[in-house]
Amino acid sequence: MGRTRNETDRMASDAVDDPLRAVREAFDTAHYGSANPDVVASGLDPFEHFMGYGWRESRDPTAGFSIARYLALNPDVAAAGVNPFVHHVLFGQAEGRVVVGDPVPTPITDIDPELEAAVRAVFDEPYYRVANPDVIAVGLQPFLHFMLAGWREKRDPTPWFSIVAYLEANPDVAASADNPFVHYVRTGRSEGRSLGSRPLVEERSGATATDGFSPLRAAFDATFYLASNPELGLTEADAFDHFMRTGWRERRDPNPTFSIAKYLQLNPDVEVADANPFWHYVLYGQAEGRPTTHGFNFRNDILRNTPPLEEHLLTLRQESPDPVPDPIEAFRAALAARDPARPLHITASQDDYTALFGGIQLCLRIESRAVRAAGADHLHLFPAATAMVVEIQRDHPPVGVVLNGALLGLFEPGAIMGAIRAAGPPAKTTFAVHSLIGHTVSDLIDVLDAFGAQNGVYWVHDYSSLCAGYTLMRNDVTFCGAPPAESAACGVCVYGPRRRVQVAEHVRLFDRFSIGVIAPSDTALGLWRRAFPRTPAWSVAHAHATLTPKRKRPRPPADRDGPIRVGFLGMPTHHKGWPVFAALVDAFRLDPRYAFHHLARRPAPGLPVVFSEVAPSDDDQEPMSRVIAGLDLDIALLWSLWPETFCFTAFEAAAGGALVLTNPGAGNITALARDPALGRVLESDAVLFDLFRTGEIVTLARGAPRAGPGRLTYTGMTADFIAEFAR
Amino acid sequence: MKTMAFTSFTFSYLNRARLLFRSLRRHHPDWTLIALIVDRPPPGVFLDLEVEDFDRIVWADELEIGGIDCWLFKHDIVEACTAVKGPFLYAACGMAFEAVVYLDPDTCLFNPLDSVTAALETHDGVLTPHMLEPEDSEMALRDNELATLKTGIFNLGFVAIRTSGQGLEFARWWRDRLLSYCYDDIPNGLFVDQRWCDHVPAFFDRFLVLRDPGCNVASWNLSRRRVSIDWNGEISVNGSSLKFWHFTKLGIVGDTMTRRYAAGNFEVHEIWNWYKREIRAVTDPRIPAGYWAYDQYSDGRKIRTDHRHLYRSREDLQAAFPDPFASGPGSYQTWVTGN
Repeated sequence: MGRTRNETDRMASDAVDDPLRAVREAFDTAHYGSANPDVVASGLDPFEHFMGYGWRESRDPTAGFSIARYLALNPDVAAAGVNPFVHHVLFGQAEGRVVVGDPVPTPITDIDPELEAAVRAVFDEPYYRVANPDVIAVGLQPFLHFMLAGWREKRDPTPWFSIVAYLEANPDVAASADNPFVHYVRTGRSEGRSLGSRPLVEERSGATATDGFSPLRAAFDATFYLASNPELGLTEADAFDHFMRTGWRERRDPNPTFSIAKYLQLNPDVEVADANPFWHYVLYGQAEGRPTTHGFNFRNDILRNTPPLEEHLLTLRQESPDPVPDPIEAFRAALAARDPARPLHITASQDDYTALFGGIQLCLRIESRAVRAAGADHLHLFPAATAMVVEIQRDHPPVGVVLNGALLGLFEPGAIMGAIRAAGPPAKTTFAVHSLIGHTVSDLIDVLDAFGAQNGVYWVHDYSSLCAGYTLMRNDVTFCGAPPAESAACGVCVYGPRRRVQVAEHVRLFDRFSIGVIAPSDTALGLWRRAFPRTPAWSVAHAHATLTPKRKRPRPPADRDGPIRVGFLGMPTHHKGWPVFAALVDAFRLDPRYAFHHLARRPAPGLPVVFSEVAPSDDDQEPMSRVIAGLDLDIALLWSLWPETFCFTAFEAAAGGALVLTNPGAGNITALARDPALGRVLESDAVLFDLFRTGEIVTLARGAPRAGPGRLTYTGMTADFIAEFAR
Repeated sequence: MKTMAFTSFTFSYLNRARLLFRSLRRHHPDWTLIALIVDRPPPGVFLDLEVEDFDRIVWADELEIGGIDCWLFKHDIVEACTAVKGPFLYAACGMAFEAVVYLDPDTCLFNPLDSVTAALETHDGVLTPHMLEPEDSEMALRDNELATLKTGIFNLGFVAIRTSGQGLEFARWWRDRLLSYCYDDIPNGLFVDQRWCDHVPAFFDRFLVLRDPGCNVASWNLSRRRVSIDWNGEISVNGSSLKFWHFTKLGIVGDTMTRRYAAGNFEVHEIWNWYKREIRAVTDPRIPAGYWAYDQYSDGRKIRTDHRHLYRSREDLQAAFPDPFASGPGSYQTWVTGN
């Protein structure tokens, strides 16, 4: 609709930026000031205000230029989202674009606007209204209807012009497939072409309000419309009429795959023309290849909307300032009270594992239990303030200390050092670093040193030792593969600048102590070894848990009727694939074959799914598998976009008896799902969608026998290795 | 091959030029880098060669152009910045370089320009066309093919020459044309420096039309170029390594065109996001927005486009007012605003 005008963007070799001078010259400061006293009162420069805000608020820059009218008259400018006054000054003026004058309606067709205006001038709207009550009844603009469809249906534009007669009298026009009325206005009348002999105007009696819209009827889904709008109390016979009359204006969708709202968002010229988007798409837009959905372009949204890392860190520091440290006495007393003959096992991670529930926290709980069962004391260190990267900027921020599962307090590192030296070194010290995020590495090294540590372990729970972006998702959109730090990819990544220093800080730990590396999966270990610049003293892959099916034999296929239940488990973050789940729900939410669920601690707004709360607590550390089993969930969609080192959720899903669906790049989840008794690995989003579209997913979910429900058996984490490396 | 690279800009584009020079320095550390500045510094702003990534500055009024004031007055900012490219390119042939490369300040290298340096071994000059393939949709052909019929087949955000043979001939010819005909007058077939180069394949058979999709990637050819980034960290375009990107029309217009033609290719947006971040980091806040030393008369009033056009078209006015920037009685400004 409308011409596109982008020659203006082909200022190919413009070495410099000129736009504002000419615009500034054309801007009428006096007019703007008197029309906008609030701007004057604010003391802002009127031109700067106009350029920054005013044009978006339709505040006109001069007495003769109307922003709103210019946008209405030039829908391609509106579609481009550019400042219309700037466009007018730089390009529109030279192109002879219409600015003012009589309220000329929006040019809405593909023909030259001057020609369209000329045609419109002879078009007899009152006549057309009377002659075509069906068109009018659905609220369509008469001229628009005529130009796009009416002429093809031989509906006459004026009482004196008969389309049928003109075509009969001018066979060359009939052969050309031109709109005969446009032909007449453009050249026919000046050439003196015959109007032919007018046939009698046929009565259009007996037509329903919406006859003549057969392509739209064919694409309209009355059953869907009724199901989506139960409060309207319509019958199938009324549905289409209702949609064409008012439903589309109320953004009620005509079928499951066409979204009125999205089409208008993606095709702003249709919105400006006030045309029924569904009608536009079926008659016009489809042939033009107009977009109807955002598709899987959620990555573009992430790139547009996510603040870069450094901004995020700044915000974090402002919102989470360092707390005031506690007096050191509690720590000193605790050290004094413990038996120095007992070994001491020190761990470090990014938070207080006793206060939070997540994967790493669960690992630490397990490890704490295991080392204490083996006769050691467990000391845990964590940064007092929330962090996302290794700390390099703040000066000795406070550190939290947990001893044998009890929080002692948040202490100033210098005071911690003093207390340790006063207590004297333990008989044997081991350590396991689960995460360095938030830690000041030199402070941690000093503490480990003071406790006499020499041998320890580093756990690869995530890739924070390889980059400031712990999921290795370049610019938060796609798994990067941990390329060399000087590569072009790292050069354009938001995590690139901080990557080097993050790795360097981890290297300091490895250079100072003898460190063994444990990763919860082979793939994680392989990736880590390839990308980390040091070779550890030893390394091993050691899963946190294994799945033990409760039943010895595979479970027979469910014979339940009704929709299959598809669930997303956990926090709705994009690296866990939430946008893919959201797109799936969008597409199939009214499909009776599927019921969508979300299992997490908190619901996610905006998505019409069944929410079930899953809240771990001290007593129940595997609530997920219980809820899954209780819901009889058929499918767990674990579509992580990065190779997870270990995903407890996937294990819990399998333990709960759901089939795990994932993609090839989800690391540990993929490894689990390759066992056909536990899951399926689908090549891509497209394949996933296809399975839902065709319904093959139902066969998959209900067809094959599966293992589970089962339970998880946890390992001892670092405790399983201490005897070896602490010799 | 002893090579010099230069770009032409004003202070409002210093931020872009800085990114270009940084990338040139990184990928071609042995090249000499020259900043051709068609401007004078705003008050309080000084360029320190110790910290900038270029080796030398050449100011526009140092070029051997007779009546430089009169000449600059005839050109608006885009016309001026493009017109000086020819004269400087020709002058560069007299310096001790074997090859000279010109790049627009809003371009940036991501890899060495090895397809260009290789071409200069066997050719006397290299140009990149706006587009390498026809379009297959109505909208794209109107945006790109039709538009470049008006603005020129080749994008002169890049040109590279040997300083001898046809490279020298080209430089001399281009200089001559740009001294007199570097105007934005599309109805009369002129689009600053660029449309002139439509003649190049006919005039200079030792010039290469470089068909490397990794060169001069911009919104006008994104419809036919797919950008990918692999796990080795390499950025490639239609399989060829990305040499340089042309970040034209930074801002809403550039965004719109990029979004239109790079819908599913999110890597394009990663690269643009990077560029915007970097620009912010190298922008000097002391440089006023839209600043240009040659956009005003001595009394500070802006020179109107129609004033320039009038002056440009009338030799008698040029003779009568040899210093058109002057203000006061007897000046062009007085004359033209009085009439």
